[in-house]
Amino acid sequence: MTTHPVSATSELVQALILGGFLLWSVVFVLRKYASVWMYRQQAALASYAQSHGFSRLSRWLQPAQIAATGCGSGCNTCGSCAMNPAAAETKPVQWKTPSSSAGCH
Amino acid sequence: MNTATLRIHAPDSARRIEHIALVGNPNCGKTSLFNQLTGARQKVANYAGVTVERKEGMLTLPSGRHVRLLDLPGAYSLDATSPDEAVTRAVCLGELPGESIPDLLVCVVDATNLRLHLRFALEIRRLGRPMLLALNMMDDARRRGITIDVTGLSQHLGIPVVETVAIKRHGAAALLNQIESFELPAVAASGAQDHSPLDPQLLHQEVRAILAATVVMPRATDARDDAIDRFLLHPVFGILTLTVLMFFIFQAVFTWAQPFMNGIGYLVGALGDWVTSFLPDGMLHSLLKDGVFAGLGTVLTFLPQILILFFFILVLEESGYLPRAAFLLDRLMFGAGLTGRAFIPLLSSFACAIPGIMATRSITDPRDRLTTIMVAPLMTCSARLPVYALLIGAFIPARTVWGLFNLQGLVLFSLYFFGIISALLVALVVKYLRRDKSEHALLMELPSYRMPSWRSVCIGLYERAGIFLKRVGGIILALIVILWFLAYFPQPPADATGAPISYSFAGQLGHLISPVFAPIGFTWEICIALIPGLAAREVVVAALGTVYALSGNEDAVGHQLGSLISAQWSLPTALSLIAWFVFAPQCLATMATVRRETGSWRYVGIMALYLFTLAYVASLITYHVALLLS
Repeated sequence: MTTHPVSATSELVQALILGGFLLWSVVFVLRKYASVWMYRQQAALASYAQSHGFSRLSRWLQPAQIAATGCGSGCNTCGSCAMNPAAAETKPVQWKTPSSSAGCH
Repeated sequence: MNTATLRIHAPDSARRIEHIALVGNPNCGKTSLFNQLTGARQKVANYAGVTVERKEGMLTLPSGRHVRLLDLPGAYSLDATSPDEAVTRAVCLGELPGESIPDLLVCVVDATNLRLHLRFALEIRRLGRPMLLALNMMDDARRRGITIDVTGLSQHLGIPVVETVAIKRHGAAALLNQIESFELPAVAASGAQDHSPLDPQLLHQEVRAILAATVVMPRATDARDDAIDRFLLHPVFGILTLTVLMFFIFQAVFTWAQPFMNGIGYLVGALGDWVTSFLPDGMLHSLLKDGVFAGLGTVLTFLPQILILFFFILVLEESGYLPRAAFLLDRLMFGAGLTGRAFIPLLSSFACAIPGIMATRSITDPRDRLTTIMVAPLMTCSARLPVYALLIGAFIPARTVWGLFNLQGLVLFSLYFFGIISALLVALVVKYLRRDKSEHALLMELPSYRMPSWRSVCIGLYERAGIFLKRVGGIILALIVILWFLAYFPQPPADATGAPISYSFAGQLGHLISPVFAPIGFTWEICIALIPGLAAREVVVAALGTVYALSGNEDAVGHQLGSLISAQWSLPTALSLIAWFVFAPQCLATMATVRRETGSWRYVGIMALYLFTLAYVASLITYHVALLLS
């Protein structure tokens, strides 16, 4: 296997690419497993940018209002689940009915 | 195709249809029709209870106008008894928050089973909403010699009736034309809808009167179905057939997949070598070689096994055999305290626990539903397959047993079987713990057998492959990049003697938690891999690849992770890890789904605790027994 020497410039470029990769990965994981929290943070950032006159940045940061069209589980394996809290928190069924308690009767 | 148009509303100043809902009994073909009308690819199968949540799409009328279409879960009555039926009832009555009442209800009925399906249609008609009836599965009805007087049926019901064949390419054309020409009343119906419970006797009498006037059925049931069922539902031959079938599937998963797996492994390895040969040594080189290619490449090789397993599941789903399997296993499940209705959710859990837990919405009794949710994660989900396949491939010799069976396939079969037995045992414990001892008999519809649609099977496989690749390129890649970062930094000191990974964040974490797992034989490398495995189980395989590559075995991992771990681990450790994965605590997405479906963190905590305890105890026993025997 051929090996190449590493220059200082090359190290800087590698660190930048790596930083980008890492940022994408962290955001991806948070969007998947803490989607409601991420939605709020993103909306807050967008609002902050708007209030400071960065309209284009604010529009870019604004989280997408994806309709809940997946199976409704929120696992988003198919990539079609809602990310906005309003849709994600919708409970399609009531677990506790008035006539039952703690899920059992 | 026959269509009976009945104008029942004033044509002048008519409103436009903007919103349609498909309603009907379970397994009448609503979702097939929805897919046909909207071009969507929602899951369909030949059994009741596939759709448990409303789905939304847009259909295009012949005029080019777009209309919103809702696909609702199947219901036997508006007097809802299960959570999925409650969704249908709420939408039909306009009671679901955030969902307007549909302008038009398209009631879909199975033309071969009108005696049952017309009952629900009559209930819907009583609501007084604009409605039309879609006589679906007309091809099956004709094959069985069933003659339906469509015009007469339309006159008896007082609504338009149209024939459809949802699984045929142009099978819904007449329905589209009918919707286009349907005229709504000028004023929307007020809230004066009649949805009080109907006397079942009167309802049945009305159905029988309509059928007597409009339908000729040579036979109440299909002679072909009866002949097949005499064998497949036989108490002895039926169980035997089911066992042989399952056995064959797991044999095929191992035997057929091997050449494809080798091919993918070779291609990924070659691509990794080629790409990294252009990069200078350093962080990026390590990320690509040790993270992306060593980690993701290993997971990718398991795609053929997943596709072969899903090929069989899709064929069985399409054929109508699965509800028969539920019927055969009902006695066993009933004895363990599970309802027969739990079969379909548990079966769905073989793909992933999440749709399985969602599918419990079709279970009427909340107590039965909770038990099913709690045991669903014990079914072997497809994410566990790469882990099993890696460990079996590395530690179980690929030899033939009794001149016929592949030993690796036998072990895989036994692991799936062990998962099922564990679920039954846990359900049995729940049965003895709960105060309410009342039991519920299984009452389920057995659909007609159908030849699987190969187009649907191919689409299903394509989608399954897409989901897997999306996971590999999405969450698994993201987790591997994070794991690589934690396993690469900080760099070892100048006088370091051990592998660099030992000095990294991940290495330190692995060493920190390894005392907890040492009694069950896990090495610190395994401990590291278990952490990202909480997010998605396949990540364990990728994480092992990355951890071993960063431990100085990058070339060995690049070509074959299995050979590397078989050289580094003892057999008791490998068996202990396999036992761990039979019960391993669920991925975070499953936990979130349990929270959502039960509305309680308490059940999530109970599930995590019992699964962790079972996994630990099973691994402990396996490890020490294996140590004694080796």
